[in-house]
Amino acid sequence: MKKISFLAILAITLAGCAGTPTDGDGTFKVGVISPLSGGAAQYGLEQQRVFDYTLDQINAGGGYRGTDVELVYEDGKCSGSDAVTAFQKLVDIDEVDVVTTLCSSESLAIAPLTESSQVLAVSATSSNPDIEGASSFLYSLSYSDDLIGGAMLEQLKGFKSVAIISEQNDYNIGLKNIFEAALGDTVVASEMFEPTMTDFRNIIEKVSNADVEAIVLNPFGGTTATNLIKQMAESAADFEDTQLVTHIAYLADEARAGVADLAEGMIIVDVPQMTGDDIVQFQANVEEKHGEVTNIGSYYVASSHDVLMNLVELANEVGEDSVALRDALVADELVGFVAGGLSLGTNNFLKGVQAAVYVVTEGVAVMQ
Amino acid sequence: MSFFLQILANTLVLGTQILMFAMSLYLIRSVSKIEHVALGAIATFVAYMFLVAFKASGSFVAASIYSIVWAIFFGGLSYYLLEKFYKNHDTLLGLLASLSFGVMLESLIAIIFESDAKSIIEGVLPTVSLGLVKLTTPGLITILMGVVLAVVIVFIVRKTPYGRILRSITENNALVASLGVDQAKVRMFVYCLGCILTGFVGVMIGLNAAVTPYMGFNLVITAFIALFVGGVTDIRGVVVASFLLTLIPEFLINYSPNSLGFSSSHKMFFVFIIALLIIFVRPNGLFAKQTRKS
Repeated sequence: MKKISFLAILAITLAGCAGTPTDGDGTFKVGVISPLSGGAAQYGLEQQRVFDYTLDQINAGGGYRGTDVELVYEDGKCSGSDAVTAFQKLVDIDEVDVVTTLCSSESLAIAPLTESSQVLAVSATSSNPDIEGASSFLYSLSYSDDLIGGAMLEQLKGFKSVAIISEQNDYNIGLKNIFEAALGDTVVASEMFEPTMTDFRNIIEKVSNADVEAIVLNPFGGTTATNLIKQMAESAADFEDTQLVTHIAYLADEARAGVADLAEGMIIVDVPQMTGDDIVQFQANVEEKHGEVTNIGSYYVASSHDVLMNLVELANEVGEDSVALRDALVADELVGFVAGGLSLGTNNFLKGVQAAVYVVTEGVAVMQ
Repeated sequence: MSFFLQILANTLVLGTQILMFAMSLYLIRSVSKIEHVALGAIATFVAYMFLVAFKASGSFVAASIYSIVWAIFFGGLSYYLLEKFYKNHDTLLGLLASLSFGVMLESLIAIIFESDAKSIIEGVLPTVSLGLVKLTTPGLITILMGVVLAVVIVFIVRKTPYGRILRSITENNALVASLGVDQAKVRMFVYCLGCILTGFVGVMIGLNAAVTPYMGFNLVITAFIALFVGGVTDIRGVVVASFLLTLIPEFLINYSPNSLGFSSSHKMFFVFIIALLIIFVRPNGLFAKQTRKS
């Protein structure tokens, strides 16, 4: 009898603890999984500034049905395993209603969990093409790497030999695979390094020795990207006639600080810098209140704002139920700086974004 | 040819780093029978202390003195942490204590300084041309200091009375005591020396590339393998194994055809293959003599 009572109490306790994310408690919580430490932390911290500013705007405007929307941050470290742990904590302990992620590694790792737990996850920045079709509860307002990869391939056309230096993570490996598949034998050297690596000199020497016409620099960004190009600059003369082609990792001027000679003429492919008055003002307001957001670039500032805005708008419309939220997300016309007027439809990515090409001229990345 | 020499030069920097770690492990093991694997984290912490002092003062001398003080502190701390295990002949527990301390220290560094890489010197490093190869100034200093220290330590260990005492402490405790040698002081000195040597490596890594909280781990793992592959009782084997375990993987990676897809991220794969091969062929160490079986 005692045993049965104990089991009954345990069952009731567990049932009480296992609050589902869609239990309709009248509040709306958004779980944020992003790199708050590690090499990609600057992106996570900058996005946090955008979210915090947007949240203030949302709550000032009435929040979710008159109650304040809450953000709960967890450090995903741009790592799949950390993202899974963060997701489980956010859903089981913090009982968030929806989740947002930053890195592709984080999004892809939680994809099966979003499906099984039917918790909606919307990223503002994840761009690995594998996100398409990964889960019917995982979406991204970013462009896909296919877009950037395709635009970079356009820039690599005409070169007879290409080398690629890639960091080993889902985002950069996704891009590397696009280049290798499209360029075939033109790729004469493809070097990969672990995210913890700091001395790239043997890789640089090998690429230099390959005597290629173009080098694709494909690190994730942050201090790793800066160290890589700094060490390349030690042998700048070896790369005088080599075209450097890269992406967002080197878009911010700080990422190229101190290597002006080597970086001059570098081709950077990213989405267009957003120049509309509204987003420029928004970014200025975020920076004034919370600090710099230059590394994530204006597109991701806008898409981060849009993710939060749309989730709250949709929740106000259909409530906290995750399936209803998902259905509304894919069916409705979205709002915001980049998503405004667009809809996801049957896609997991936002379609209709165009890539832009920048060339570093006199130390500044100039959009062509 | 210049490619070969440049890869050799770059890899010698890494090999020297591994060598200094392996020699520190060897020296500490000689007097305590404990593999002090926390040296990786200690080197990292000392490098971060150099970074802090250099950013605050802008002086290499002040930063060096500050980091040496920390290295000596960790030498003393290591002694107090591990002495009990030596006296109780619990060398395995000593290894476990050292490993736990190292992991704790690494985590502490990550908490305090965050886990992204940090450069001690901003901007492009100055390089020195030596014929067909060029090395960064910190890289060149690492090799030169490493070679000098390796020669001095091998000489002391093998050819001097002090070296004989070092080698005898764990083998014939009573004899060494009868000679009036304060063994505890010798151990304390060796712990401090090991922390200074590995701390120096940590600082040079920071100057040559960048510091990260976990940078010491891979180094100490490779050095640990070099210690056992080379032969724990013969410092010559440790020296040779340190270079074999760094040079061979780098050359295999850099000279393998692109189609095989080997890159720097596969280095530890080759390190373990080489270690396995050597252990099978020379299980008692690279320079171990054949012993007659009774």
